[in-house]
Amino acid sequence: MTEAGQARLDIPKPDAQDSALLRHLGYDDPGRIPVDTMALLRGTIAEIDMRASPVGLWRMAAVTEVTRRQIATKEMKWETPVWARLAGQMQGNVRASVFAVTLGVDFDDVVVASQMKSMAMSFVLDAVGSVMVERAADQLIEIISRHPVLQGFVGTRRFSPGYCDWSLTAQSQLFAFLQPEKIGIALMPGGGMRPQKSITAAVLWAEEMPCDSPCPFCPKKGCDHRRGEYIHKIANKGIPTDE
Amino acid sequence: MTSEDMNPSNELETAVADRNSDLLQKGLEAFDRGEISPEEVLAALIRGLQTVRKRMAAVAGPVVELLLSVDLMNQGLEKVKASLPPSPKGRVVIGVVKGDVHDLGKNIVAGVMAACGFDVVDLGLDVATDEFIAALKRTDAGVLALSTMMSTPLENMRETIAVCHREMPHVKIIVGGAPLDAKLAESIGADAYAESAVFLLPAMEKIAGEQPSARIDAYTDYERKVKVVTVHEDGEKSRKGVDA
Repeated sequence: MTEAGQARLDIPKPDAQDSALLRHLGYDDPGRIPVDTMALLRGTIAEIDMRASPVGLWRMAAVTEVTRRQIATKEMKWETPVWARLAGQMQGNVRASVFAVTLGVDFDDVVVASQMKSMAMSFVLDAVGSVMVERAADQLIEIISRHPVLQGFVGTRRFSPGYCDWSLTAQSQLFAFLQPEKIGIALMPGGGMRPQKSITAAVLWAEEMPCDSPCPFCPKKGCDHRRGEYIHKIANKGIPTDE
Repeated sequence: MTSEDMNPSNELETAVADRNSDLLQKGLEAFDRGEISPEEVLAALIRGLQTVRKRMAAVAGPVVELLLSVDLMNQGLEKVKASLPPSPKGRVVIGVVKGDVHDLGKNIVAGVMAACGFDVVDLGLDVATDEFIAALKRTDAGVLALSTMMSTPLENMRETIAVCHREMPHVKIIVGGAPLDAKLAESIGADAYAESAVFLLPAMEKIAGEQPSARIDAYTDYERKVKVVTVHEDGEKSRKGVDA
């Protein structure tokens, strides 16, 4: 059975009260949004023409080896000690999926065109795009999770090159394996992508895992992306070796 | 002061500071009637933006509110720019360094600079060191503004700064972007750092030599869970903590 796929994703525009959008714009409390800012949000969202629908591409492989620093499949070696530490504690078969999603080049064009009209509007549009591409990633993970080989498996949170301790240089390996060019995503020399509203990421799948992110094993205190407390008691348990 | 008591200059300043488009129109109608000069319009608009900037620096306000004021300021400038002398505040070359394609932050900063009267030469994104140097030589700009949203192009930023300092030591360099903070900016040789468009103007004033003693540095102290804004003015140093 093919362990790869491509999907058109159905991501509605966020509305002006969308809490994720408001957080992107710096508002934790919707009650603090000034009237003119709310009018800008409503007006900008209403103007977005969503002809181009988001699209995603994914591919999966069995994890063949986990060492202290690496997670390996037949075609890829991911150098990320914190995720390797989590993978080392998973039970049974472990599989790795990688995926890419994009809103497409049309959305970039909309943001660029809006900059001529209003800086505030282009800032809001960029935030709308960020929220939508994040949701596209979540929707694609949901699609991947329904694949027959993953029945009975649970997945980690997604993780991307450039985050945690997974270097952005891993993008070239990920692109070689997944070939996101098929859905119009180009890799830039520095590891960035075009269109700008694109995400590449990985998810690990296993029958059992102690937690869905490596945060409990990770002592990096000031991390913006921390999803759970560091738990000293389990942090050094069952660490895979390099042998 | 009520709007009835305001002169055109007050109206324009308040329009930008309070994001009041009715007052902006009123002030611009006064310009049409010849009651206020283009230079006075520009000065009033900049004062309005300075008010917003100071307010936002104190409370770490959302950037979108600053940009609403910038939009009003641009509307005002559009009206008077043909009557203004060219680049009264100097010329800036700006771009996203090689290896990065994220340009929204750079575009916002370029827009704020232009709105404040700087002559901005925007080289776009993924710009190589030699392109920056050639543009600086061609345009005789006194300031180089560099941006990146990613950590990998920081080495290219460091290289551009080093080459610029070596070949054009009179050029001042300001940097900004997600992977940077004031300490890192200093360590790679930048003359100034702006965390966001909110902190751009004092940083620009510092390196442009207009108010050499004014500087604002801002960073997030994750240990203390506070946003730390350090304001240096006239040699004095104050420190404010705002909940992160």
